Amino acid sequence: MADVRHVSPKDGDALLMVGTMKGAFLFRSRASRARWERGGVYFPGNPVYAMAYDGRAGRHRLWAAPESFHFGSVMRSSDDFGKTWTSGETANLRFPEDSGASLKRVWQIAPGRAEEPEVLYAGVEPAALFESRDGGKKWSLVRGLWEHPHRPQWQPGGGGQCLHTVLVDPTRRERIHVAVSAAGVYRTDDGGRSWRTAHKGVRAQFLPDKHPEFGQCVHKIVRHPSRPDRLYLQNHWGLYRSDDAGESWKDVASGVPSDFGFGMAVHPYDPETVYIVPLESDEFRCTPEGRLRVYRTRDAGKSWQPMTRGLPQKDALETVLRDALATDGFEKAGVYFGTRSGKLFASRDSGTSWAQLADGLPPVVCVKAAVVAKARGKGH
Amino acid sequence: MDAEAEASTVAEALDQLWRLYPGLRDRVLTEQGQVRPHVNVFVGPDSIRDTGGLSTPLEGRMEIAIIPAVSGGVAPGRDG
Repeated sequence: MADVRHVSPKDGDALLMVGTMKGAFLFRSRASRARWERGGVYFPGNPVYAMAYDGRAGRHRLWAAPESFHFGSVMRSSDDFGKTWTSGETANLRFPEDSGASLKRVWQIAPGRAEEPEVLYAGVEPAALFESRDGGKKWSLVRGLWEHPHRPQWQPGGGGQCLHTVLVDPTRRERIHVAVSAAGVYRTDDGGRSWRTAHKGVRAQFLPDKHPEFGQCVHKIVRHPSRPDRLYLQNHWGLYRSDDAGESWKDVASGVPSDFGFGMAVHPYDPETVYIVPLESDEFRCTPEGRLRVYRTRDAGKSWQPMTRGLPQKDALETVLRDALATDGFEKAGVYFGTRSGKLFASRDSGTSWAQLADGLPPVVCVKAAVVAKARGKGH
Repeated sequence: MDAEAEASTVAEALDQLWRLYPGLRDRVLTEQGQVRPHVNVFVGPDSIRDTGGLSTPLEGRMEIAIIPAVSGGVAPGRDG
């Protein structure tokens, strides 16, 4: 068994959570983000598609959903940065018997609003949303979405039939957007009781009807907390922006070598700045021309510029998956991504220049970044 | 680990095992009560997939074995 190293982040440090096909890793650095320490491997051998940091209410809680090929997926948390984790024995996130469904994979763990520190959401496969109202001890199926008349007809995308993105609206308490492959974007305005599609204008390139009622293969949506009605969307072919909380979408793919890709992240302080890693095609799914380029817009998608400094520009046939691109919470934003070939890259100047943090990891499927919150009683 | 049970079906025997080791149930069965796809349960040399699943009857002294399938590790790449 691999040796496990640990990190001990302090208040104000940068923390990276990296989920791979064979376990999870943590990286920590001071706020300068010049030098990083690595912790792990946690859950060796288990794919970890979903991780999250919950710094609300004075917590320092990590979440991970390790998945045993044989024995299923469990939600586990750690309050000491990975030194100990809650038990993996009991399946704490489970479909109710009357659903007839069995949990295959947890794709997303999303803490709820800051004012509701006990609320968390999880997006899973088969595509469904779960909610916890007690800080993650008990999870229940959000029935309103499960019972949506479209759901029985949702098709799987290339990664499976998954609910992979959960965006809570920081200002409207009852509004949540979710994205499902390959079904599209769904939105609730009543806390999950009723849902409707929110992907008008998003194409389904792979269907005879390019604008079906549902069936779009949305790969990722992001929102900026200071401008919650503005969303960006990386589609299975297509790059979009919405300024009306998903009522309508406008194509913003100008100046990119391909509008196919998976990951997407928004700058923590600037709602006009967004990052993507275009991939050549759904057939090839590698960086175009063997050049690993992060594309950045600073004008809400009107134009995109390639960021190449410090990234390999020759023979780099890389794939960055939908949850493997992230930003942290610093004003001079850290931007991070991991590749299927096990490399991890970081920028500490909002994407302008890059350094490689790790190589030789198992295939990276999840990268989440956070600033370690100040513990309660220390300045809050 | 080994445990002894008196039971007339595999399901009954496993129910007794879950009582002894509660954490095992969710690892072997899905939330719908079916054996996970990559876990095999044998009665003697026979997989219960071929003999009636969890309702496979038990007669006399039998050994039930729970063994992870050889199909372990990471499934070949899906993008996601």
